[in-house]
Amino acid sequence: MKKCIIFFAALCVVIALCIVLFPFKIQKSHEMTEILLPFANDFERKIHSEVFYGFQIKKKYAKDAIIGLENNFSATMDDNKIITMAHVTKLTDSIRMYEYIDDPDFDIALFSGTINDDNKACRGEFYAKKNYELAQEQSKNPSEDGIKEVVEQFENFVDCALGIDFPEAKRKKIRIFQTEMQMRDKDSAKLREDNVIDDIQYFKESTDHYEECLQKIADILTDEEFEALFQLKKSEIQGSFLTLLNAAISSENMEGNDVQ
Amino acid sequence: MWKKSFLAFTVIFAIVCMQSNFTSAEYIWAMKVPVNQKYLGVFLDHTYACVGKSNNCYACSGSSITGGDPVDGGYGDGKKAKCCAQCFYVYGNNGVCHQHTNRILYAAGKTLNSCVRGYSTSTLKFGIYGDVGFSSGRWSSCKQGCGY
Repeated sequence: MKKCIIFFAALCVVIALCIVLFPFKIQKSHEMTEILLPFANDFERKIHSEVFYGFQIKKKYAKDAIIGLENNFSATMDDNKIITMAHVTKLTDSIRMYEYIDDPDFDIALFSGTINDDNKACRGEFYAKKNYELAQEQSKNPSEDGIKEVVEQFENFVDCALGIDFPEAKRKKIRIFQTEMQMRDKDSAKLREDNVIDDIQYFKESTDHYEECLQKIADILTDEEFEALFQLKKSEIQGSFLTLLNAAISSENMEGNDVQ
Repeated sequence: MWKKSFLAFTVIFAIVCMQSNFTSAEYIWAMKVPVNQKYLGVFLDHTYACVGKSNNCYACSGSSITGGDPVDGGYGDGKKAKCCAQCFYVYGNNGVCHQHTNRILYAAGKTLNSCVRGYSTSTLKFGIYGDVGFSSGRWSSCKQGCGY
């Protein structure tokens, strides 16, 4: 009896150790997101279109971690992961985008930027995570043609580029234009499937639908809004779809590309 | 006898745990390479994803590009990521490199972020995973086949 008890107690210890130790590497990579996301949510509500900078640092520096914002407010995070606000006059001068650290032990990596830099780095991280979660949610109840999902996903891109306070009237029009494009694509795909049109005609129609949609969106946005959303000038819509499709091939011929 | 049984059971259990939880966790990351279009200049980035080692990378349309800058990454099931990389994908119909990269990043719980130029442009048409239009549903089915 005594031996049985000792055996099962030891077995429980081994099982507990296996559960705790072996998935540790996977758990660690989510720590940063768990720390920063609640904070990002809070600022998303308060600061609207201001950009949120995320600071990711190695665990041993956690005590001095600083989270800076475009409007010169900053927050500090202490060992207990409590965030307090403070006003600073200057962010760091150098920009460091998300740093690739090939270190399985890192918890968070440091990145910062100045006002005039590509300061959507951290905001992008926040919405990248949101996109993943949205896709997970959508997969539970998918639509037949996937159009509803694509339109919902693009909402996050509008939030990211133009802020959550971007006018609903313009958002609604973007949704309508995008849905119309998808429906027209669907009709063209059906024609292609039925061999009414060939590949060339299908591609031409697909290109036209896309560029017409972009043009309609360009008509309701300012130049700055359009460029923020698509990293494209309004004058560059023509031919943009073809360039997008050729990106994989064009990048091989890119001058200055680092080939390993 | 008790000691030997216990020892044997512990060893077997540890091996099973390692196989299922630990050895399949690999670092999965995405890279971006700027594309210089002759007339429009650099306005978009090509992306690709790697699983585990830097010579184990997947790019859509058979592109063999390497190098570039890291975008994002995380730990996930490498086997599932590699499986997703092979899912049915017609370049230009299902999506472009961005959507294909997202499919591989799925195992790490990640997607590309806004620092990838042109990403919003491609997402407007193809969504995040390229599961819209004439082949809608295929990515979801393939994902399930890969163990999700």
